[in-house]
Amino acid sequence: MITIKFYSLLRLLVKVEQVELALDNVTISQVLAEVQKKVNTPFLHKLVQGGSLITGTVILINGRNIHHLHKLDSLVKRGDEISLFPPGGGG
Amino acid sequence: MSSNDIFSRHALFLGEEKLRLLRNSTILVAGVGGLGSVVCDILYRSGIGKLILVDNNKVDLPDLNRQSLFTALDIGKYKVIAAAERLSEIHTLTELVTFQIDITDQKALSVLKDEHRFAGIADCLDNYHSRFALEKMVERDVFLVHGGVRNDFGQVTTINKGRSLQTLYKGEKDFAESIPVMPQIVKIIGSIMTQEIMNNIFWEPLLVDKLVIFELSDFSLFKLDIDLRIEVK
Repeated sequence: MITIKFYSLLRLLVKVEQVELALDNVTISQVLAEVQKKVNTPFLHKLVQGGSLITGTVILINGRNIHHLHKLDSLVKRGDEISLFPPGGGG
Repeated sequence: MSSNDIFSRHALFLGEEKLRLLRNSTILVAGVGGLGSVVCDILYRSGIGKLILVDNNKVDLPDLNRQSLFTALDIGKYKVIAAAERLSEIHTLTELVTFQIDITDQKALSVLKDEHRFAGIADCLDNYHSRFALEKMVERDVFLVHGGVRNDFGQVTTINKGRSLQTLYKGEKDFAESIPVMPQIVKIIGSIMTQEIMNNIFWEPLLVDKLVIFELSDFSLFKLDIDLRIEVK
């Protein structure tokens, strides 16, 4: 299983804390598309526009920002945990 | 003025050794706004040895909803000056140093570093580019506790040498407009930051490679495993 966890604004939007998918060796793009189908709430437009990542949400695979992996082509394997977290930038 | 009296209630819980560690510690507070007010207030009332306040802004009316060290009488004053005035009214057992500088001014930061030693840094800033400049001051034996807020949620983590906020926030851009924020989340996140600053001072940090997220909307608290190492083998 791949576990996808939502935090703050995204958790409120999709109204679930986490989703599990029986996938292995797929890109994070494919995972997110499957998650969107499963939660039945559009949220991808807040993460990706024109095929590129946009600012506002940190996407982590096993705690590592996908900007430091292969961005939307980052590979996700069985047992991996994905976190989607719109951070608070204010002080 | 007796420290035995002022700090007696938390001394009962912490014990003399931890109180001594607080008294012997210096913390640099970067950004004396919402989070900075809370962090300064608690550390000061807890008997921290020395606070270095760093901020380049003046108190403005929209600050008064959450920046608890300031009142209407402080409008137009530099925040570091107004904060030092307010804190010194509480007691005079903590040394206060103020730096009215922009955190991205590397020359000014190096002067600060040459003049003062500090155990840790409280990142109470309100934008990513300043945070990335600030974390360059993290060295061996210098920790940084990061906090951020927005709307009614916020997050806290600890950075030490070999770790970077850029590994977490790469790709993030600063808000062009003012960031919406509820006063109560500032108090909560500032308090969590202060607890973690004390954990670091006591050599017991809990948030290295962990991110605490607190959300007021339904009182949820999460602790994520994160990997902020700069070099990953």
